[in-house]
Amino acid sequence: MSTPTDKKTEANGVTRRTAVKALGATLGAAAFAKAMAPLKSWTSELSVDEFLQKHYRELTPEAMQEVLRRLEQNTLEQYGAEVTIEDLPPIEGVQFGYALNLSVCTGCRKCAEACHKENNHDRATNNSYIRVLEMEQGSMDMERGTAAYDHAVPAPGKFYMPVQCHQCDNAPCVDVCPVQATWKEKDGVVVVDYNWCIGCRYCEAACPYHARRFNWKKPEIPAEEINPVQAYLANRIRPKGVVEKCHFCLHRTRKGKLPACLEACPTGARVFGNLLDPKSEIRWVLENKRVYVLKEELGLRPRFFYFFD
Amino acid sequence: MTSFPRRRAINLAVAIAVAIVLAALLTFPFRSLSNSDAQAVVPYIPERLHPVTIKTPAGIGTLRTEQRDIHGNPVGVACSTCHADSGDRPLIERSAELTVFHTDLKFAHGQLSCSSCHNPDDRDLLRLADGQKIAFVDTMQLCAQCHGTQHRSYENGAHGGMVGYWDLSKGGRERNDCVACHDPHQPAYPQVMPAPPPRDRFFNVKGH
Ligand code: HEC
Ligand code: HEC
Ligand code: HEC
Ligand code: HEC
Repeated sequence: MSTPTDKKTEANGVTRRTAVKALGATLGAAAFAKAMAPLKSWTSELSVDEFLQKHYRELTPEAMQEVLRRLEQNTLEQYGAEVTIEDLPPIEGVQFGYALNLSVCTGCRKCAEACHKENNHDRATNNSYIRVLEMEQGSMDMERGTAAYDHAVPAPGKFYMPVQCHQCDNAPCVDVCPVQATWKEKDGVVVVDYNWCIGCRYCEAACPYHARRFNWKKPEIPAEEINPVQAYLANRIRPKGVVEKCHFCLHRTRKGKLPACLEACPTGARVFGNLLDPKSEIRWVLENKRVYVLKEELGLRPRFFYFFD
Repeated sequence: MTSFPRRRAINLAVAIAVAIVLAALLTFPFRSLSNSDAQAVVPYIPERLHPVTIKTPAGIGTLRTEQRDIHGNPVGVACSTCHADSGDRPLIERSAELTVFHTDLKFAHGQLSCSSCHNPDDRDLLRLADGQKIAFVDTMQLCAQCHGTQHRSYENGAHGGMVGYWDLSKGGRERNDCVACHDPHQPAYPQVMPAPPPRDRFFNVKGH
């Protein structure tokens, strides 16, 4: 459990506004204006409360509860859906890891579809945190994969590589964020505070796995399709102009459940669990299978692994 | 023989390289933890409290008919209804020889014969290679004989998938048995049409 004091010690006192100023000074006025553009365009939807909201890690539990109730109310007003938004801390002694069997995946995109629904993605773009790449057998170069295939799978001579956030220990996306709106949690999940993100998209550019997404517009989802079980750092509906990414379904996994993409996989290619538990399935895979780390040469130490039978 | 020692040296080099790679992989996710967290973390290891249930297909071990029960499952007829006595009929071992009944049965599973799995003396049971008879619900034992790798992976949660909780102290899990995904007579996983691709402007990594 995180207490208000350790939340305070984790934050290092940079406020959004001082960081924004510093950014303006180093980039010059034009670049500054460009980086701020998404911020400007939201002002109409942004309430004073939202603008003044403190950084997630500085909020007291009481203030956090107020924020959560406000966000629930906003969802009701804007989407007509009654939802519950929780603030779920990491579980002590748990480090999440994820592995995917490339010998088994057939490229059916059921994982991406499940992510789309579970995480309240914009219906029009069919967005998802997972991109399934169709690859030529014999090559592991993801830049040569294609996500747009639309024919029966698995196609002869191809294999399929779903790519989502790798929750790197040396996460370049975290390093480049000028306002610390994204950080690594104790259980290894890299999260985004959507209320703190200024939409500069540096993180999106820094990610070699193309795992981050930018909300160009306000997500549109019919009320009856909204997943009402939500968490602050996870699947609550994101505002326009912020960056989002896979969070290992922390609104499920921090309650002991498996991620939605794993449950949806009809082929059983996905393995998830606690890296610190020597008896866990994920540890068995790392210790017994031929494990492959995508773009290992970058030294980012991902928490996402691929393996073969 | 001059080439022998050289080959051994190469083998040794390969073995060392493999060992290094393995060691690097194994320590890899955990190394970083010692860097970021100064104090030792007590791993959270759930007691196995909730059960893992394995689902077998409805009506396994019976001949499914067109009729449905109130749950929508096909009504099955016990194999022994017709197979109580094989009489003088010569035993059939290949699907191509079926001319009177089970003629829609397609078979593509290596060179296996019907008796590799089915027990000819009691059709309500299966048979292992050592002659032991097993119930249809225990089919996984049958598959395990010849597919040890997949079975071992399955037992360790790395083949066959699951639904429910990674943390068994908080809830249970449901899993499918082998024949829920693989038709025992033509076990290759079928081709399907994928769910629709994303429609955002940057969905295609190729060619940017
Ligand atoms: C309605 C009657 C009927 C039922 C029920 C039935 N069978 Fe048969 N089965 C037959 C007949 C008739 C043949 C011979 C087919 C031929 O000669 O073409 C046969 C052949 C076979 C054979 C080929 C070996 C042999 O005995 O010649 C196998 C194996 C077999 N059946 C398994 C089963 C199993 C397993 C079930 C239950 C799941 C089952 N059958 C249920 C009528 C039946
Ligand atoms: C690899 C092992 C294996 C082999 C080989 C095999 N079977 Fe089966 N068979 C099974 C299993 C397991 C089931 C039960 C699957 C189920 O009902 O879902 C089954 C079910 C059946 C059924 C009932 C199917 C239904 O849908 O109701 C028939 C009939 C049958 N087998 C006939 C045969 C015949 C004839 C052959 C030889 C040509 C044969 N089997 C070869 C394992 C095998
Ligand atoms: C007696 C040994 C034996 C048993 C029992 C057996 N298999 Fe097989 N299986 C084989 C062989 C041999 C092949 C390889 C066939 C080939 O290469 O064409 C195979 C192939 C397969 C394949 C790959 C098929 C493909 O075309 O890619 C699957 C999946 C499979 N078996 C599943 C099962 C399941 C599920 C069971 C239990 C119902 C089972 N097997 C029982 C021997 C066996
Ligand atoms: C959740 C579905 C699922 C379950 C359950 C499942 N498998 Fe598979 N299995 C797959 C898929 C998908 C593949 C990959 C097929 C492909 O590449 O076309 C596969 C591949 C295989 C292969 C072929 C491997 C190869 O290299 O060709 C074998 C053999 C096999 N499974 C056996 C088993 C056995 C034995 C069990 C039970 C212990 C089992 N499977 C349970 C989905 C499943």
